[in-house]
Amino acid sequence: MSLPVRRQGAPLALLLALASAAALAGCSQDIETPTNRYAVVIGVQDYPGDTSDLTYPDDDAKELADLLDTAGWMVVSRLISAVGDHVNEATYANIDSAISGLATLIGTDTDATVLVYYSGHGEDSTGKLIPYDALSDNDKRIAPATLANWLDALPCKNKLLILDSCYSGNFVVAGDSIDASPQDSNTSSGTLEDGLLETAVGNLGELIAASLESSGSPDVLAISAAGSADLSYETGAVSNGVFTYYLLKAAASGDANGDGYVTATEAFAYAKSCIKAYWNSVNAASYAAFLPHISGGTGDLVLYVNK
Amino acid sequence: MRRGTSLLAIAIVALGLPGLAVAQAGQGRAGAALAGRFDASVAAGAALSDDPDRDLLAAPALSFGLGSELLWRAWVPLRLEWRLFSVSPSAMDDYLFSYRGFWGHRLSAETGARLRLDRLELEFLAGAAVSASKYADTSLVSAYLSALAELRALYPLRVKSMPGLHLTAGLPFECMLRGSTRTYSLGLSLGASLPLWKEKTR
Repeated sequence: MSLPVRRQGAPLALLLALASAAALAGCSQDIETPTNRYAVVIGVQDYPGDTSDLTYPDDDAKELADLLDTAGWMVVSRLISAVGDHVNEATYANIDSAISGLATLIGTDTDATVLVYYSGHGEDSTGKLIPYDALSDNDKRIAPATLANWLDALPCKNKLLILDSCYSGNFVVAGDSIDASPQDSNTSSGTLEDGLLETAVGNLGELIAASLESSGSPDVLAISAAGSADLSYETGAVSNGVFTYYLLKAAASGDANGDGYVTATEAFAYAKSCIKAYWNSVNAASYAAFLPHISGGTGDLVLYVNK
Repeated sequence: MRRGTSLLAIAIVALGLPGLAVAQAGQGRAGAALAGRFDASVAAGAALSDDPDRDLLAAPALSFGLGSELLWRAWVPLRLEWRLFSVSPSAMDDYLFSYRGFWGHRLSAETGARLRLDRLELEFLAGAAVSASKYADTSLVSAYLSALAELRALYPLRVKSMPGLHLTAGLPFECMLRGSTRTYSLGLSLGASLPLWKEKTR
């Protein structure tokens, strides 16, 4: 049974949908993969000079782009700065152009979905993304407000942002929620989350007020590798950024309800549990802990289509 | 004990207050019309979420609850209830958008009227609730208000060891105010109720 219904038939549809929705449990939807899903993938491994170079963002970007191509996306831009090839691709101007160029593809299709992925350096504390040409030019570092404006200019309503960089939690908006997971995983409480009731009761007025505002959900569903006060890491053990490695694995292993679709929330939850189990607990003596974060709001978007 | 657990315990104890008040009021007063009941129930149903520019999308919902109510003649002056609920992720629209699943705790207060049809008793209730919830698979906590309406039926069961035991069935309806999203829930509840103080009438 096809349950989604249009707003014009709402009253009768409400009753019918409520009466039949219990059958959803155990049912798997078979939806034709839409063709209006566009991705911009950015990986900055090489920076001017040698001292700031990373090792794996180019691999992160290439592997994710290849995966997205098979998982229901059209990768329209691969901006990679790497030693030996793709030099200078991931500049501020090219990133701006690639994202704004999505508007041409989208046209008037407000149901389109866009995904922007970035792997590279994030500026200390602010988390600003650092393109290839921004190492010594702060004006070319991409702040959360700047990226938000670029994405806001796109006429579609489905927007995904995934960042594998230090302090990237600065780009994640909790919206009508409070994130009970620490933004700094290296305080005395470590990566422990506050409880549901503790968080809710302690912030009840603020949360209720947020829920009563008409604009509750953030416009962009964002996932960050780390909190706003956390570093994120890459490692030769997996030849990727740690977060991106598990994000890639989520395509095969992150489908928690087995319906053939891995949503952004499922991929986030999978990556977070793996980082807790296989990075934070194993490497505590040598490296700082970190945790991915995801933005608030009632909505979710499919990241990988496995059907 | 974690503070959240303490608060939950306090809330559950508070559910017994209507009954305790009845017991106090009724001490030694023959023919009192005030009574109280305590009940437990499970419910299953569907939650339909609606957002501007989005399709209506449905999801299964389950809950378990403990409630207590004051009864006075043809009225239910006050019903308090705590529910632990879970709403699964919704169906997807044609563009692979869905509503996240969420779970949490709800405290509600309702009032209403009651009607006897031979041995069957019907309650018509309306009220409001406050809920604290977490989006499934995340650490994101939110809280919101709801409007409630419920039709409950109670049927007496003759169990000698539990005098006054009633089987309850209900059709609860809830409208949750979650930012730009409105979530409507309709379900079927089944449970049992026991009197805290036996109702006496002249």
